[in-house]
Amino acid sequence: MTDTPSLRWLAYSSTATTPFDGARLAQLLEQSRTANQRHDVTGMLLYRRGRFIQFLEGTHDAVTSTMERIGRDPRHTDIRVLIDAATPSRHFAEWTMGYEPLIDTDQPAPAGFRDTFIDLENAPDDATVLRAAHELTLWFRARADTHNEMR
Amino acid sequence: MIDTEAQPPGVLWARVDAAFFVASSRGTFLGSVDGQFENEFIARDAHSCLIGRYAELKAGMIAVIDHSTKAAPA
Repeated sequence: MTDTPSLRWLAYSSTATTPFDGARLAQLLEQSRTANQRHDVTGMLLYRRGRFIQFLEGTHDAVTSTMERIGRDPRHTDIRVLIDAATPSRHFAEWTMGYEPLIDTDQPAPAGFRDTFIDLENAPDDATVLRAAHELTLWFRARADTHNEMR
Repeated sequence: MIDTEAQPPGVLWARVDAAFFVASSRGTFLGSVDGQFENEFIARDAHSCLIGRYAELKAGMIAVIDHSTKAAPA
């Protein structure tokens, strides 16, 4: 019997060295999807206010080599790993690199609500960062499902 | 302002983007409400299965909590 290789889940944030428009984002996604398909890596990319947040998942070695490639990419800087953990299953199994546009706002979260992005990037404890990361996975799946239902 | 005080104890709501809200309770995800379309708030459970469509955010939030309560084991 062969052991199933353990899966690794990694999320990082970074800053675009120059702003990305739709065409550059599409090019980045295409390159990412091609590379990820080769290494059986799945995940999701977010772009918000000049910042990237990307989730990667795959075998330990596949995620390591993907992060090494990403780290050499001059299109972004200030890479900060937010989560690097084992996971029993993939969160983005159907996406070599999923993307959904955010509906951005300058308004603070309504009273009584946490702000996912503030928690993800600024929370001092791992539990809050992990919760915020899961909120983003729920956001992505729900938006993707809604768009699929409309087709 | 939205009345999150009316939610059961331990329920935490987070805003992901301008129109998307996620509920969790003590590390367990309960569901989400998406108001990306005008006059419609789509409530989903933690597996992204549709609960219903509502005219107001508050109704969607209540639906998520009610659904999670019914789905929880006794």
